[in-house]
Amino acid sequence: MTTTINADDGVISGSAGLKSTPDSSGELALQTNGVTKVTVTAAGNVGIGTSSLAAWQGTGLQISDRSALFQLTINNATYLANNLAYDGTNWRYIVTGAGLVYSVGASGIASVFRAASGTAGAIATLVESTRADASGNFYFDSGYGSVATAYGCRAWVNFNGTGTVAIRASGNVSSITDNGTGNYTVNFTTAMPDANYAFVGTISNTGSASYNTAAISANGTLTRTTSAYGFTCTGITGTTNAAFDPNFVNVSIFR
Amino acid sequence: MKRIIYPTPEGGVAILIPTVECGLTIEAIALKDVPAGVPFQIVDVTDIPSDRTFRAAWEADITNPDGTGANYGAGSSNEVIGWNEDGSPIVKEVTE
Repeated sequence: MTTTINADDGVISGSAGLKSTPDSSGELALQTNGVTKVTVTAAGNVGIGTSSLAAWQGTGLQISDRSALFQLTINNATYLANNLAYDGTNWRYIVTGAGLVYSVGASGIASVFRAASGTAGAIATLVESTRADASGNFYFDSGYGSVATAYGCRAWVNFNGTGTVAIRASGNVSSITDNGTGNYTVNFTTAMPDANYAFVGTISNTGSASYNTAAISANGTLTRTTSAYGFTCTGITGTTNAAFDPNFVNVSIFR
Repeated sequence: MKRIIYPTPEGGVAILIPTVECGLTIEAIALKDVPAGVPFQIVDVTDIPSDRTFRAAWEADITNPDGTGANYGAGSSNEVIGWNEDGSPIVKEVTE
């Protein structure tokens, strides 16, 4: 049955639809089939699927018993939270359990905070676990103890330099150049911002060649640009050394 | 599987081994990773010797090249800073 609200005289038709009940709570409740589905509190907060909203500071939307989207007036930040609400002084658990909140600050900083399990209504201690700042830097904790800037591996490749040279796996590498025995260039799919990146390489040989020590090193005559990096794999026995083709060549570029 | 070969200034031959993960065509890889202006040829991997004992002596006849390294290829003053959806490179002059 269609429910109609007549704006002129306030008459509501429909026995199981919207219901208007005079009270002094200041709340607006929308019901279907006799059950409140949407609540608008006197403070302007909205609950969907719940009429028992957490005590918000600011304006918020709560869905069911613990999901919330709200903006705090103290900092104009936007929060997407599960089981956490800010009452103006403290973060509190809405129901008993763990909590998590994703904040988007007005200054352009986005963070994820976690709270260990607590009881409903208790003050929650939030611990920041990840952050993206306004400069595009990404921070994470991952057991470090606090969030710190993460510096990414911008390119990597693992290849076999013996026989038919073949790439096992890679990231941001379009190709490798086989320049000669033990002499390779890694070509980046997308260039580095500058050539001041850190090159890390390891080699291991399970082939026929036998050396006491094997090293991977930059060769002054080879490439070091924003687009590529060249290097030489050298085996050392006693006082002699020679370029050779390792079975495993692992290269990472950090910036 | 394919490989890209091109002559080196020393008279030898360089071999490009393309990656699958980069998602680029072998032609796009060749244009970017072959030095600018240097002719290249796309060959089957079976055309490359697997015995590397005399690697330094390898030579290649590239009389009918499939193309030449683009002006954003190795050694050029440009670099590829990204890729468009159609697979074309976003090229920028190196400023370092």
